[in-house]
This record gives sequence, structure tokens and C-alpha cells, in this order.
Amino acid sequence: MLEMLFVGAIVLVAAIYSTWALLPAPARRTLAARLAPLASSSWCPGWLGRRLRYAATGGPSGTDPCSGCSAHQPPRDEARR
Amino acid sequence: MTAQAQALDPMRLALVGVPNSGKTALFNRLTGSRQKVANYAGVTVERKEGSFVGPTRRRQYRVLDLPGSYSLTPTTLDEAITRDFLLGRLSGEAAPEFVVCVVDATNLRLNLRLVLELRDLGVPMIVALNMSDLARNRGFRLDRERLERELGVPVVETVAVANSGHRQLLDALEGIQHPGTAPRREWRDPSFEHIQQTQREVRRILRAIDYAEPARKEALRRLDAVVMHPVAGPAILAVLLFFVFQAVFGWAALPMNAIDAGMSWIGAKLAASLPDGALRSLLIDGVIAGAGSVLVFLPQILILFFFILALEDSGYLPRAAYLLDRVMGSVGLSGRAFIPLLSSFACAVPGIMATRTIPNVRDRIATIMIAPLMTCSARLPVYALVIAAFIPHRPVGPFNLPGLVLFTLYVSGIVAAMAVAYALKRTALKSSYHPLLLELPEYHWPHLNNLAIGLWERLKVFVQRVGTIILALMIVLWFLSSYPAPPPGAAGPPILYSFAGMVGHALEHLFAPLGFNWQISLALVPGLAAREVAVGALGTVYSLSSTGDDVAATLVPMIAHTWSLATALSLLAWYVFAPQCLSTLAVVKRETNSWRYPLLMAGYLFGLAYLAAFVTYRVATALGG
Repeated sequence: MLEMLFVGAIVLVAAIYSTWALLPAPARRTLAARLAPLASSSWCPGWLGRRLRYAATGGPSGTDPCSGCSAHQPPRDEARR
Repeated sequence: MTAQAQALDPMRLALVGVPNSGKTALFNRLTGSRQKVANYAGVTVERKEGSFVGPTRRRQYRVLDLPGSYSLTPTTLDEAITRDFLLGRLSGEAAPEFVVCVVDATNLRLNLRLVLELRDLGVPMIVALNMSDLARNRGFRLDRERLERELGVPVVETVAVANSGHRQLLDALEGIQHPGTAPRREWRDPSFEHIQQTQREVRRILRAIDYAEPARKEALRRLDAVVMHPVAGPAILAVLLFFVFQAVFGWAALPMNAIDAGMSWIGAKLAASLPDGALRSLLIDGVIAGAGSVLVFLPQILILFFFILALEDSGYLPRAAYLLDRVMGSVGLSGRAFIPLLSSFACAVPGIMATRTIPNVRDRIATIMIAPLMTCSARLPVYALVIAAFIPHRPVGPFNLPGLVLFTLYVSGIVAAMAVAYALKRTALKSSYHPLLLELPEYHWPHLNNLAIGLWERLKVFVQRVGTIILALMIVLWFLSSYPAPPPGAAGPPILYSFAGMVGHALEHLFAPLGFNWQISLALVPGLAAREVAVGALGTVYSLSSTGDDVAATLVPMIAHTWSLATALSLLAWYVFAPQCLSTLAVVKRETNSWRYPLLMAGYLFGLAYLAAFVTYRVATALGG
């Protein structure tokens, strides 16, 4: 039973992540902006909140705009020394 | 960030200059970034942003790397971005407070017009005399102090590719007070007389600073005479490309076998240590068989990019564009289409974005429409998998057969692209011929640093993708291929009764005329996210389709055993046109600002892919394949 729960959680996370990554960039930004207020809730992990706020402002979100590409170097909006 | 750094407002700094003057190399040097640089014009088509803290005053700088522009009178979309940004016309973007005008010291004649226009605009500015080491080594004569006096703005020497080549620029930047928002003079597009006057001023300054270009080295002149010869040039290009594809197969075998062996070892260890159940199946059939089977192709991708990066850095590619201008012109394309189409061999997305350098809208749309026909690196794993399974590794003269087949597939994509361009340019996208005007950079040996950084970035991106989106999709596919569980007493592997099995069998009706079985039909669906995912999907599906001892077997012998040669050739023909890539369609929508072109593209590519695969399968079957 514990094994099934663990595997189910992995599948759920994978399904949410792949849906997010495959969304077109504008839709992802809109969704992130909608979800950003939730990021300040106490139950929301800090890293997730930061990621959502960043995505809402159009920051890089891993696969934008080139989610089908294994060669293209995605633009870095924040390159720091 | 220190308190002192916070005390000073960040200064908005723009890097401006003519194409191929080294702006991006300087941007990388200043910000520690790793943006793509190459020895030809038109690499940067979007503005890039980074930041750094000054070494002495601890002031923070926001740096913007703008697309190259010959003047403030744009002829292409990327030049318009630069002009509008400098004039503060881009919505949501304030004009820069300070400009670093990057000037190629070996080509001052071409660079000074932009400097004079920026000076006339009243933007606070420093001129970075880039490639000053190269100029000195080649025997160029120029007087920096005199140039500074003539221009009336600070001029510093930089060597953007060297470790401390930006030191003088940093010192000069740290020396200036915050420029604030200096009032700009209003910009009006100059009249012909005004342009002539500017050119006269350029010639006067060059005379005043005693600028003298040395005679070109005889060896380089002779090299160009051969490389750009109407007969020898295309032959050299063909041999060069042929050699690259041979190397992709010839050199990659050892590291690929090592990765494959590593994956099999991990799979065997997991199988031995985990009890039979859902977690074991997820790890072995989903993660190892799925994501692992894509990772195996990393060496081939790196070898291909090693050659592409080396050719980019050497200065050969614009010469190839010149050689192919006649071919491009014969199908109605602009010679400027060459660089975007070349970029599409890596991925269609940057290739389509690079079409911004094409001034004519119809030429640009035609180039966008054919860019996905160039064989992107995501197709390489699919090609390599099918070739490894069906094409024997035997020599054909001095070449190997798999390399020959791969070369043929790449050429098929190019021929198809030219045919589609020919049709488009004679029907919906007619336009007059635009002659190619191209600046040929000087040859130089590829910088090892650039090669290493380029390969490292490709490796990182590929491994990241395998570890994120491909892994996630493979886990989802594993779930869909494993559930619902088969009914009690069911015969055959459980995948036949799963969601994925149902979808695969439904799709099989559509793809059966092409010789695709239900496993291939199913693998095409996650392949919509990224083409190489199809390989991972085949790995997972076949792993779950097999029973008992076959689980540990790798994908290549599995498909060699279950597919006919006709099916394999049909799949290769399908992937030459491969319509399925959502990100390409999304970027076409963004670049054309219309749904019309992405829908048209998806439709015609699907039609071509279906037709090519159908004909291939039928012909191969008739011939006994």
C-alpha cells in the first residue's frame, strides 16, 4: 500500500510538471500570475513561491520557448557575475 | 550585494555595435554569462540582459546586449529592435542611460557610421575598440588617442575573448558619474545627403587618425580563392558535411556503448535488489528503459555540435552561405536564409527566430515555413536508433554505411525544403529576388574555450531535458502503459489492456497504411512534446510489452526483431518531415503573430510525412523489404 502511494505521488508530480512545461509561455505566465497569491500562504514551500513569482514575471521556466529542443541554449534573463 | 553597491542605483547599460563586432563576447565577459557567440553576423536577434557589480566602486550595472545594427536606419526586424530600444520606443522598456558602442578595430570603415549616429543622438557613450589585439597582430595602424579626440567620446581598447580583455572598459565605466537621463536629440531618418555627409566624416576621421589597413595575407587570399571557387567550393562543402556525418557514427560507438552498458548495469542492479511491484516496474521500464534510451545518444549529439561550433567559430559559414546563394536564389529564397536554415539543424526554434535578419516579409515567411524540414538534433536519436537496428555497420569504400544513410536523410530534408520553397515562392509568397549582401569575417582557428563552453552548454541542456521533461513524460507514459491492470486470466503483456494500449490500437488504424504498429503509433504522441521523446516512449512501451528475460534487453535488438525493413524505412521517411513539434509551432505563432502559418505548417508537414512514409513503405514492401 505504501509503495502504491509513493508511486502514485511520483506519477502525480510528473503529470503536473509535464503539463506545466508543455504549456505555451503566455499561458504559463498567466497561470503563474493566478497562482502567485497562493505562494504567500504558510503551507506553500518557499522555493515554489519564488518559482511561481519568477514565472509570473516572464522569467525563464525551464523550457521556454524551446520545449522541443535539445540543442538550443535558452536565453538567460538574469546572468550574474 | 554589499551595502555600498546598494547605495548606488543600477546603471542601465546597452551594448551596441555592427553585427559580428564582438558585443555578445563582451557581454559574456562582463556578466559571466554564456550566450552564444559565433564568427558571423546575425547571431543575436533578441535583446539579452545581464548584470554585474563594478570592481572598485561596487556600483551595479544592468547590461543589455542588443542585436547588431549597421546604422540607426533599420533594414531588418532585429535592427529595428535595436533602434527602438535606444530611442526608448519599446513599450515597457526605458531607454538606456549609457551606451557602450562596440567597434571592430579591424573594420573601422564599416563601424564608424553607427558611432557618429549615436554621438549625434546625444547618448552618453564609450567606444570599445574591440579585437584590438587582432588588429595589432595583423598590422593595422590606428591611433586610439587621436580617435578619442576626433570623436569627442572616451575610446578604450578591449579584447572580449581574452580573460582580462575588458579591464580597461570596466575602469572607464567606474570612472563616470551616474549619467542620469540625459536629454536625447530627436531622431529622424537621415536623408541621402545626410548619409553621404556622415560617410565623408568617417573618411575624414580615418585619415586624421592615420588608419591604415594592411594587405591581406597571401595565404588567406589563396584559401578564399579555393574555398569560394564556383566548382571547388561546393565540392569542399559537400566533403566537409559528409565527413561530419561519418564522424557522428564512426566516433560515437565507444561512448554510446559505455552509456548503454551503464544503463543496463543500473537496470540489472535494480531488478536484483527490488521486489517485484509497481516501484520496480516504474524504475526499470519507465525511467531506465525510457529516459535512459534517450541519454545513450548524447555522444552523437556532442560530436555533431563539435563540428558545427568549430565551423561557426572559424568564419567558414558565411562563405558557405555565399556558395549556396545561387541554389537559394534558384528556388526563390534570399541568400540571407542560409544562416537561419543552418541554425535549424540544431533546432528549428532559434532558426525561426533568426529569420528576423531577413528584410523581405515574404522571404522571411517562406524561410520560416521550411525551417522545420532541416534535420534538427532532436531527430538524431530517432535516426540513430533505426539505423543502428537495420543498417549493417559495413564499409562502403572509405565510408561506413550508417554514415551514408544518415547523410542521405539530412540531404533529403534539404531537398524537400528547397522543393517546398520553390512551390511557395512561385505561388502564395511571390517576391522579387533580393541579392545577398554579406560581410565575410576573417578566418581564425576556433577558440578552444568557445568550443568547450558551447559543448558544455549543449550537454547541460540535453541532460537537463532528459532529467526533467523527458523523465516526467516517461513516468506518465509508464503509468498509462501499466494501468488499468489486465483482467484475471488475461493472456499477453499487461500493456495491451492499459490506457496506452487502447490509444495505440486506436491510432494504429490511422498509421497502419504506413506500416506502423501500435507501439510506433503510440510513441508518436509524446513525440509531440519533443521528437526524441519518441525514442524513450518506444523504450518504455517495448519494455512493458516484453516478458520475463526480455526486460533487460536494449531497444535496438528489440525493434530489429519486431519491425520489418519496410517499416523502419517508412519511419525514417516520416521523421524527415516529422510534423510533430509543439514548440516549433508555438514559436511560428509568436514570430508571425498569426495562427494561420503554424496551422498551415502543421498541415503541410503532416501531409508530406504521411505521403513520404506511405510511398516508402509500399515501395519497400514491393521490393521484398
